[in-house]
Amino acid sequence: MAAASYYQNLKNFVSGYYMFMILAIVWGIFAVISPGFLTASNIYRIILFSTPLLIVSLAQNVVILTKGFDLTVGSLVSLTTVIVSVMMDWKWPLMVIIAIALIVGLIVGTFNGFCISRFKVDPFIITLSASFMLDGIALMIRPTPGGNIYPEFISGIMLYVSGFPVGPLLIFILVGIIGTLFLERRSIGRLIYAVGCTEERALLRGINVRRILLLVYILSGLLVSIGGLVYTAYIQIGDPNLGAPLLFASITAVFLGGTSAAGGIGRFPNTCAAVLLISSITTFLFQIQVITWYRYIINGVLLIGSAIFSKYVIEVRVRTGGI
Amino acid sequence: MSETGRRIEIGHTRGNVLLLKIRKDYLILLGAFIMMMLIAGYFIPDFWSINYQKELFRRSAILGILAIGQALVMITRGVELSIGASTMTLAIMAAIFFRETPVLMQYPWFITVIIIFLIGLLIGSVNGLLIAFLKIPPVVVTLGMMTALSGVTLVYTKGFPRGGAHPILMEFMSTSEVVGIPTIVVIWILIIILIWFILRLTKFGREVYAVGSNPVAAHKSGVHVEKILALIYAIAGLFAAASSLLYLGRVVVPALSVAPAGIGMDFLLSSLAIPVLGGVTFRGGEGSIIGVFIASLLYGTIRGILIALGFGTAGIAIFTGLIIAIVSIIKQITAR
Repeated sequence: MAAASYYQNLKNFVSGYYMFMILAIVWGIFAVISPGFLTASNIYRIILFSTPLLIVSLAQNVVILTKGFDLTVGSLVSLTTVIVSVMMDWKWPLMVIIAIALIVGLIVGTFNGFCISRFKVDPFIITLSASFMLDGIALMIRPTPGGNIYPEFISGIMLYVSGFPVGPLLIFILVGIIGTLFLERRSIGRLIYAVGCTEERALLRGINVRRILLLVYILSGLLVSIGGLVYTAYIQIGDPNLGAPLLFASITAVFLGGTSAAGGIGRFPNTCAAVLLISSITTFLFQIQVITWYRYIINGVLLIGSAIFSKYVIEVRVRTGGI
Repeated sequence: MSETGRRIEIGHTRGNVLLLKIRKDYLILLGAFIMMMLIAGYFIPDFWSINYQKELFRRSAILGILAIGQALVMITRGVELSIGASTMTLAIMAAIFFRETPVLMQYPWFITVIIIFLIGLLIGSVNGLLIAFLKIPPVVVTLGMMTALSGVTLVYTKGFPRGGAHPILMEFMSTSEVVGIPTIVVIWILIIILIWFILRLTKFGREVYAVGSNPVAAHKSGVHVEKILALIYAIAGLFAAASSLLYLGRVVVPALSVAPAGIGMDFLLSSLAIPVLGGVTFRGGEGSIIGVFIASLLYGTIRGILIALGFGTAGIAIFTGLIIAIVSIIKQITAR
């Protein structure tokens, strides 16, 4: 009896945090191939580079939990970097710039959420057409990469302590904890799971499905514009093309993190580990000097692979009573 | 007796209503097209000249043929986001095969054309098999395929424009005519008639609509849903191949512009906007190919106006996004 419950606990622990184990195995393999990989500074760099992706993935995760897709994330990140860089060229005060960037995210999220919750338009159509529009606007404002970012904005996000950026690590940990607590401990998080699981039943239980959906997309828009702000501090430039890889990476991370496209399944800690895994792969490829263009192929294969993983490993396990 | 009679009567009325509704849709589309032509005539000086019209039809044919593939996928409740990337990839492959591959250059030109169609079929089949048999959401599969194809093309060409079109293709897209009508337009109309015939009058066509309007019901009534889905995506790949060859014939050396999410975004935008304008919805199971035909002319005219007004790629992207969003919302409101 005791042994059985011990086994059950172990099984729950494994299924709750399986992605961290996969991450450890992958790190081991990379360390064998490339000896310089598993050093403290390199691991730190991986965490550093995965912070914007983590913020965007939290947004994507919340949306996919409700059976939706948010295809605007890449374009919105691009647009945020472009807007911020342009306003910094105009020498506007920093607080105003940040407020405007957040308001843009809010507007995009509200548009998506309103069309999806009110008119019941399929999420991917509305977010796809919104992403076309955002891409167009970003290209109109700044056709080629450029612009200067305020040094105080960069140091405000990077928080250099004796030449060492601490900010991204803090943001990473903060987003990981807040995301997990929000989805698993707050009632609103449980409502999101309920809506994703079966919308009809959630409706019958008296949950205001429309309001939850609207909230989810507004939250996503806000989070993505925060991610865009952090990303701007990283690349220190406004670029209308740089956001797109984040779209593929965020969907991949969410699927690898065990969230199912069928909605209502998945835990955020695993998504955090999946984000680290994707950044590790990118860093590793950079280290063994694979040309950037191969990364498009690897992104595509990873995306499809993660969807198959999510479909066949996660959904089957859920049906047989795991996780 | 009366039971049978009533059923026939209901069927009869429904048929009539459907026919009327479709005709109303066509009328709205045609009205929009004529209005856009009048507006275009105002903005574009030589719009009503016979040469501009021929050019408009040729340009619309490339996008129109691509849009048929997308429309077929959309009728089955799917979406093919890699169609733009595969068109671009195939165009670049064809350009290299025609001018820079000695092995293929010693054979007649149609061997290369057949190879391009086979590669298109292959890309479509991979999409189709993943979507139909592994049941992965179409959005995810085709997004992944889009970025993977972009990578393949960039690695293959190293980012530089290479190769060129075969003279026969160039002639086909510029001067070749049948009784004063560009050959490509004649072929386009023949394809439209063929697809219309297949969709409306064959078992396969009815099954395509059945899968789109309700996959579960289609499965229960004996339709092999997986087979239909896989076939439809493979056919979309063929349309991408056809469109890529026509595009190559027009531009001669395909330019590689890497848009945010991958190559060939312009094709993707148009291929999504045209079926949506033509009355095909992402809900699946509705829309007709005649509507797609009229919509490609409408969209071609709108693009002409936008370009004449000085809007670049960015303006067209914004406008296309708006079209898709607005039409989808209107359809969603009127359906309830």
